[in-house]
Amino acid sequence: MTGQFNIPVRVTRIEQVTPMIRRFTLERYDGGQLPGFSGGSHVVVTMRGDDRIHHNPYSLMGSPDDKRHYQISVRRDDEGRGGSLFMHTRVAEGDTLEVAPPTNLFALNRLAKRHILIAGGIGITPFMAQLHELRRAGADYQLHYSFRDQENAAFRNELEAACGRRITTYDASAGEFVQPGQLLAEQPLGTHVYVCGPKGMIQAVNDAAFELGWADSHVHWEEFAAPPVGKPFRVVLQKSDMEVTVPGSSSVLEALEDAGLQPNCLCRGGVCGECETVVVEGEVEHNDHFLPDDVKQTNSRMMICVSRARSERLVLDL
Amino acid sequence: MPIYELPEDGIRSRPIYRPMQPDVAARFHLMVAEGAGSEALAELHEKLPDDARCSIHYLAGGDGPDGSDRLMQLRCEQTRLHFDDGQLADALRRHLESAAMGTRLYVAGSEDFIWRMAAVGISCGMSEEEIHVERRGSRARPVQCVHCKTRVEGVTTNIYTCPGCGQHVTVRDHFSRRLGAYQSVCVDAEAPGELPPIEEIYR
Repeated sequence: MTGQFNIPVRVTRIEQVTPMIRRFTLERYDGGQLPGFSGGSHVVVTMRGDDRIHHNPYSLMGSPDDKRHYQISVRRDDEGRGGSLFMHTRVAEGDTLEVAPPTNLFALNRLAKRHILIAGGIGITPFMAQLHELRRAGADYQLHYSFRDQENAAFRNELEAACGRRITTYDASAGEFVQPGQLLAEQPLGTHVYVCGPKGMIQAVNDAAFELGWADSHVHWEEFAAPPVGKPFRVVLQKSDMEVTVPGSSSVLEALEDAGLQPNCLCRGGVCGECETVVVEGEVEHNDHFLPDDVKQTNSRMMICVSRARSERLVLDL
Repeated sequence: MPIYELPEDGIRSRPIYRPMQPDVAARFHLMVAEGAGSEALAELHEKLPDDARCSIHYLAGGDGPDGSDRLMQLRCEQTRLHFDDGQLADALRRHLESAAMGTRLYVAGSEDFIWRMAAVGISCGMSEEEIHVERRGSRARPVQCVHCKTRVEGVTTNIYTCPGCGQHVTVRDHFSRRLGAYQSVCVDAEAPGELPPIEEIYR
């Protein structure tokens, strides 16, 4: 699926926002309109490196009203598989990239009476697009933004200008931390909470909401899993009668694509559920946020975009 | 936890009601009933954990036996009796407007009543997951005519004459949660006046 509908875009502007974060402004290569999106959407960016192709999901952070530009921010990860490093070291203004049309797995609930947005670090990006929608709707919202220190407080000034007294910032280097239990206590009926940030923060917000009796449908979170690096293993595709080796630094999905196949996929971050695949044989190392825990334990299904094998061989119903 | 189920086959929107179960994750249980719905609340109350916080609003009279005495005996922060369903709906709205996240709403009574009260919850920002409903008492249906949109409460027959447009309409299993009503549609369009047997099937 992915790869067939990519839109060629030109990088019109690159800003070094913090020592680790760059913001990229993209426009269609032919100057036309880009597909519309709602706040919380992401695009998968295809980067053609010398020895491999990277596909990374990034949240759109510009205004949904701007049909000419997409904006994404990329945090440099020197330990990762190279996609963010490619964006930081190889991409210059005027270069071309490809993006897939936007998908939203982290949308605002329009019936909410109040929105509580909790961001940690680069997790601020989806909220920056949502803020446009919240302000236009005159919605009741609060933004709680945590960062490591002042030097890494990306977009702080523009956020404060946009949100005024609705934003609260937390500087971890000064000992300031979000307290989800306090934040979520005694909120009026119809409140929705949204969290995007480090694993621990997402977990803490989910735990606090559960403890306070919040229904799951009022708790929203997004965390893209990067496919982890691991040991190589063999994948047997039962229906196609093929055998493929998955290298340590590739995901199953990427290895199948390298072999000329086009498995269904969308987010490439273990979130959307599109690439769910039946496992016939073998043990799975689950890295996704999609499958329920009881399904993961049975080894009967896997998300091939981020999960790997624990055994030396996996047989898939593909 | 679903507030009701939908059938696997037939008309998929027809709700199937089962005995309400307490959502033990909740911090506060707000229970509302009319008529025979009091029995459902009493049964629900029995299943609540000992330290659970709850309040009851009850509309005495209407359909079914008066359960006021039974409900007054239940351990509860507040038990309020109402004698008018508009007044009950207002009281429920005021209660929900000052309620905190962690509240669940439980409603028992006629189908017309439970969906009207559920709509109060929805308009206060609750999601369906937070609202549990159970039909008790009469099976009479609230129905909306698809032609003229006239709503009729308490329809017990398979066919009735719509008071809005005068057409003979048949009650379908198509149910709108938003309107809290089944849909009715003209039954003799092909041959006006030729009606199938009229039976009382929703009692």
